[in-house]
Amino acid sequence: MNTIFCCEGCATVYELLSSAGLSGYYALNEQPGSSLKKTYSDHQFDVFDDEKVVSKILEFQEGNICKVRVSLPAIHCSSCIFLLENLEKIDGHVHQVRVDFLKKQAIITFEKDDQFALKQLFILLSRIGYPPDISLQDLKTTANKPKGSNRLMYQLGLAGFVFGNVMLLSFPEYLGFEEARNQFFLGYINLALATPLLFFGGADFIMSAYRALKAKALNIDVPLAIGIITLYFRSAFEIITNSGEGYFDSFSGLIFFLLIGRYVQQITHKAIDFERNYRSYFPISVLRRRNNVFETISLDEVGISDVLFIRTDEIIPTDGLVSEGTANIDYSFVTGESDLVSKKTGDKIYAGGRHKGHPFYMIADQSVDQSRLTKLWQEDVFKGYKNRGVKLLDIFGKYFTFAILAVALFTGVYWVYFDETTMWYAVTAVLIVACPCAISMAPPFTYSNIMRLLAKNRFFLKNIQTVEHFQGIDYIIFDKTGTLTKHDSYIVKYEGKNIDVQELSMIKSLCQLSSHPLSNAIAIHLNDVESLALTNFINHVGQGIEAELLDKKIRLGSSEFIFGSHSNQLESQVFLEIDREYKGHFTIQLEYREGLKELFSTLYKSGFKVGVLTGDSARDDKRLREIVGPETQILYQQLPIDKLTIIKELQESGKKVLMIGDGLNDAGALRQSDIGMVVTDKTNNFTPACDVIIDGQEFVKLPQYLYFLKRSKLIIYGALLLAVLYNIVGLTFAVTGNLSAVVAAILMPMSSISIILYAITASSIVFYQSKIIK
Amino acid sequence: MKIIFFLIVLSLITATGFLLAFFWAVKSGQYEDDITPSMRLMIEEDMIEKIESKPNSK
Repeated sequence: MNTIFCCEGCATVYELLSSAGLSGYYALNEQPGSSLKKTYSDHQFDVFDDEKVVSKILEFQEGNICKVRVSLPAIHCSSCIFLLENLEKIDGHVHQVRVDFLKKQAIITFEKDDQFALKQLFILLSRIGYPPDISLQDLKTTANKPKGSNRLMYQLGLAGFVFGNVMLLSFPEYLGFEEARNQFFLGYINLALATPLLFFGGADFIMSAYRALKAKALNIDVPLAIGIITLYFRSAFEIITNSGEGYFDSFSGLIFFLLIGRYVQQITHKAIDFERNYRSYFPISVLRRRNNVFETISLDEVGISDVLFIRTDEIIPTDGLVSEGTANIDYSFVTGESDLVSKKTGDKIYAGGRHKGHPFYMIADQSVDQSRLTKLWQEDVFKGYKNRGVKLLDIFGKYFTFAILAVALFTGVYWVYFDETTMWYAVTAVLIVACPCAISMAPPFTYSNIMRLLAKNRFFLKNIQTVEHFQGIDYIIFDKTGTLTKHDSYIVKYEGKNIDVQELSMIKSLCQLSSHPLSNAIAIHLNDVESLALTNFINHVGQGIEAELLDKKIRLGSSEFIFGSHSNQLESQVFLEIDREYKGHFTIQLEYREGLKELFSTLYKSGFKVGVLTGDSARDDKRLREIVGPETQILYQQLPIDKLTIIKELQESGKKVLMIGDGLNDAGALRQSDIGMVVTDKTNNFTPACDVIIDGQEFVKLPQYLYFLKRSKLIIYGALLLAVLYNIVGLTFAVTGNLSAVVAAILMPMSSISIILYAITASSIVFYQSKIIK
Repeated sequence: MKIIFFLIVLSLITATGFLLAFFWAVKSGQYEDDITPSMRLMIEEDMIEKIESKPNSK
């Protein structure tokens, strides 16, 4: 076998697949699958032994046949579909698998028995490289799929059907065959077709207007609803009294176009889930020791004074005390500091840190929901919807409604004096022709085209409203770690005596044995160096590491570890000793992204105020100051809750704040800000709570993106102007009492379609002008 | 002219048939995922045997 694999995991997968006759997996794509460097312990899924938990996850169960919908973030190519949908070849318990590529989900039907249940299914998936992503959130929500999402599709189908048929049946009218209407009851057929549409399509808009009026507000749906109602009843009246042909073609067309607008608004970005909360980061189960028996329990069941067993790389689920062993906690999740904190028996530890090192025991002193981290997450900002400005369209709608009512009143008064018989005809015509269909379509089409253009460049907006919220932004706050600096990318410098190649190999090999972030940084730095097998490795937790090669002893660690005395360490430094001789030290700094200097100066030129909030200490002040410029306010050692408070204060002083972070330790601040933006170097598998996700490589183009988003307001204004012009044309027909069904039937679709074309063209032109693509 | 009556009714029935077909398609979930089926199409039914007959292709 001359097949070469990157790691043991992938080789195992290959063996498994070829024995099941599924080698086709490797023929579909050049390099299918992602590297299996991370190992998954089978214990991870122990919680699924619990029937209660299982029943929450299963979508459907009848007898032994179970159906489950699981999120598999590793899905990324057609080979994945091939492999997963042939899962029954690997294990006969699986009956059927359907993959939803866009959502990265699989719907799996399987038969359970004594040997095979949900847990074994998850282990199987993990073994072939698709570890299921089950978060506590999934356990909380009972329904995975929102019901009624198809409603709009049904409405759209009905509206299209009615629109087409009514148009067809109105044709004799357009061509002037008036006798046809009476001869074939065409009017009554139209009435019969339009009535269900009023109740199933139009009712939503009328209800929305009703709710707005009830809340003593006027939005764009109010004139829409007036238009819909007037159209329907006047047409019905004309047909029943045989006084005219009615406007059912305009009526059904109007609703059809309005529904298309809604649909466009809805379909953008199904793929990215922005609604994750803190629960997604937490483990779903934890090992509890009770009377020397270990049991896996779900987080909700953790009670006060339970003894919990925390393994390497697990997240501390709740506050408590270390009871046995030593905890080495990476709190970067909470504070942004990447240094490990060492806690001995009896010390207090807080939820949210990730434990590195040997397993230890802790006694919980709070249940999971009350812990300190959860409190931060459950600040009021997380409840309810963000309270943000009124929608542009609603402000417009208010004045628009008044204007239309005034015109209608004026028309009515005028005709009462001159020709009473025309009065109702003219007034209803005004209300019909002024119906702001085109106006209400301008924003959804403009914004969704903007979102589409941005998403192509890996700048993802949560929804259409976000574009609008960008308009007022005048203050930008950056987080440092992971935002201004690159993820897991360090500058490593060595100062001291010369070291030879063999010694370099020793350093690298030693660092590879430790999971400490600084060791990782050095190991990555020495990428090209060969690795050696070292013996007698000892990890002095929180201090340093040592090992031997033949009789050469190498030690690496803090100054205290090497010299025995504590010295002032200004930056992250690692000291090196080989054969009891001090050699020198490594200085490790996080690497800043390229082009930041330019980014900050452009932001100042565009008139933004800028600040940096970081959980880190001021040890890096000089370098940071050089990048951000003298005007920027920098605050160090900010806890997540401090960041949140500062943003709140800025908002109270009237600022509109854009917060840019990495979504880990600043999620509260991201939520509080007017727009929370997350910079991520892996958009595919990590989607924190925020409004915008921007790819790390696109980050330096931020000023261009802001320019484009702010410009989008002009596009909307243009669209509104165009719509108003159409209205003026229509109104001149209506006010003079000359609005025939044909004119209405031409004007209405024409205005809507031209607005859509305008919105898409204009936003594309502005996008290319903003120089986001060079 | 009676033929027109017949044609109107016929066209309405046909159109209603299409409408119901559309409702059925929505209900059966055909609009929920419009990416995966296109990728699934590229996977050959006989992929499994085909590969086994020429080992070590890579």
